[in-house]
Amino acid sequence: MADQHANISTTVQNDDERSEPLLVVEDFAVRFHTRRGLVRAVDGVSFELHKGKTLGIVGESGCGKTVLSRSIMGLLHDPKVERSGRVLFEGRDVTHLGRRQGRSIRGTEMAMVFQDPMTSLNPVMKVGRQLTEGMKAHLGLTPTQRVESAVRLLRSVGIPSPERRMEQYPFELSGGMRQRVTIAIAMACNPKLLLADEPTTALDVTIQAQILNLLDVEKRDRNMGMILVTHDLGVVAGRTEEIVVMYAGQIVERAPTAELFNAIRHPYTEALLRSIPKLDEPSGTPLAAIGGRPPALHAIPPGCRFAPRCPYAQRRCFEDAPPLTSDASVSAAHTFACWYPVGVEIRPTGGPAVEPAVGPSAGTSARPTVEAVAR
Amino acid sequence: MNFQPLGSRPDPLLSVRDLTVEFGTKDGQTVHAVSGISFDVAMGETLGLVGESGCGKSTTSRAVMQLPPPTAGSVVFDGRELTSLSSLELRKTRTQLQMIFQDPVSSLNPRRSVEDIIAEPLATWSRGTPKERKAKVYELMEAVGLDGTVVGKRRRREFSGGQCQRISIARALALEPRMLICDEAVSALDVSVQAQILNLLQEMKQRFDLTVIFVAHDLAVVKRVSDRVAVMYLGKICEIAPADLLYAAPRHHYTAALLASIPQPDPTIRPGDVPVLSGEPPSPTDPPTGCRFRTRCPRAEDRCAAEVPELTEHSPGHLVACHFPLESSVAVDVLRRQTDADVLRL
Repeated sequence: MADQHANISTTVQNDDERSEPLLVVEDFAVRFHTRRGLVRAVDGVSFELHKGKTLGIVGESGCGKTVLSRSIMGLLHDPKVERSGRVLFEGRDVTHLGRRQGRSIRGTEMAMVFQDPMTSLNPVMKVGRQLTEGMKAHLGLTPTQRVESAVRLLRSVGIPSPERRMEQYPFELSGGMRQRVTIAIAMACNPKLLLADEPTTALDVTIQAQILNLLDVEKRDRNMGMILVTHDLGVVAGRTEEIVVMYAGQIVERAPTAELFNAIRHPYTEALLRSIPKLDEPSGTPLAAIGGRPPALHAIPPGCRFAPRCPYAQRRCFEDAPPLTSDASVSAAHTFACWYPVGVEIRPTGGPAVEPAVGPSAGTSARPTVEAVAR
Repeated sequence: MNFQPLGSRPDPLLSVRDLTVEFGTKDGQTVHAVSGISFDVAMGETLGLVGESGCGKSTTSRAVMQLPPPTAGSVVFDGRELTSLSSLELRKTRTQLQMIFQDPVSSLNPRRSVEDIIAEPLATWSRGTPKERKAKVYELMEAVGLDGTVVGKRRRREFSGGQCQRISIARALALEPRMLICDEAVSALDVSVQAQILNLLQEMKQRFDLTVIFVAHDLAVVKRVSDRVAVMYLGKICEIAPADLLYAAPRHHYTAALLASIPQPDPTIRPGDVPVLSGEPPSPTDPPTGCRFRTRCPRAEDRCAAEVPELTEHSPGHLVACHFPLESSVAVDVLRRQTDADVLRL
């Protein structure tokens, strides 16, 4: 068992050494100045992504996943938005690139697919023109070449009779077809990085499966890096190499996909997985709901942000914010921010990497009970 | 035509027969939203109604409420034919038949306090004195997990989506209805909050002896709360069965495809292993002849285009509308295992 874990972590490290990452996000933070005060939408997030890999960013509404992906894409330019940390794309710092300077990268080398295809497409412009617009600005093709390439793209994303679709408006297409069009637009300039923000949330399940498969094929064929942002752990389980779980603006757990599902360490990830109704459980089984709701981002409590809802929380959790750490004896690639991670008691006796509870009141057990939950 | 349809329930609280809902469009076409469906809901039962957008599940639930009344067919609730009631009689009956909607925020009046919102149905029907009504409102708030003394005077903007849904549930329960229709009641909520509301609905069902129709697109959610599940496709019911049986051994090709498309939180299932349904549902203005699913069905033959498959009972309580239903391999497996066990025991 321990050997297996060691293998996983070394392959991950080898991968890291082999090539320079496509995207590096370092201690990145996005804050909004609002009437209610400073909203810390994204707070000290770090990760990297390699070519040809998919990273899943998972969390519930308000966890900062959308703000994160949009600000990587440079879509939040406003004097009221404050940014810190770094975003490196192919080694180039793109954190503070303005609209004008960013244009050579955004929309061409980095592209984005949004949740709602009806609002991300222009309702009064024909599909064909929306597709060729980007090519005109970035690729310098002749009009005939642009149309040819647009038809080819529409066919490649599985749209029947593409020539006819070029002349239609978005309202004439179904939701699934519209999302295929937005994917075709994102692919128009051959991006190296694709950010997909809840690309299938607005679609029916059978269509969702089609679109997710399409994104997978496009990623493989073009050797793109892909960030799949979603609230659904089911969507990322089979389609990503690595998963980042966010809560209240921060990463609470990050691990290679298989490892995450094998050995969840953060209580929030555990609770999230438990609250999903699963098909193989008999009907009528009550769900393990997480009580309460996430903290307001303009009034973040001290300590661990999940503590008020955490069944394992102790006094320390309400006082000190836990840093992202890994359990070196198990896997260096699996990091989590928790003082009392899940599954501690089954860890081999290699000495705890996470120090045990403070104070005599916390007792000797590393996995505390509900006693200390203060509401 | 007055035979007892297969799969009818012993003492139905609600009995729907040949329900048809059609709408005219501006360009003179007809949208066949629901086409002649029949089902019963037994007292105390939860019937799940699933399907993708446009399958007619919401239209069905609204037609039951007579919002608007159906184009044809009958809806019998507690022995009364709702389609022929006078509007006053209908209003009276509807106090027994309440609905919860998808968007918890827009279904609450932004200008009124929570207390007023929950008290409104009581005031409309002059139930009790103002004092009694207030006591009832606090009791309801307590039942759905809200502290009335803290939140009673607040307005909807001060609540999260999950809390707004709790308020909607309290309002729906104010008149002590016998039946609750939940139309995508948890679809707009985050998973952790969704779990809270699902558990709350189950609890309320027990506490207030409710009969429930639970409409949703999420099959896993529906399985959780339902005793029986009906799967709809393009205005028709393809399959009805007890929840566990339907999920373990679907007989209709659409149900099987729908189940296979759900992404599971399990990294060992690679997306490539799962067969994906191709194409999209046809337009309800011009549904296909014969079986409506045949244009996407992997098993379709000429007969499927010529002949409409009737909903027939394949095993007790399991009704399927398909000319070539799937072998229930799982059910067979279960049976085989039982037989093996019997053999071993002998």
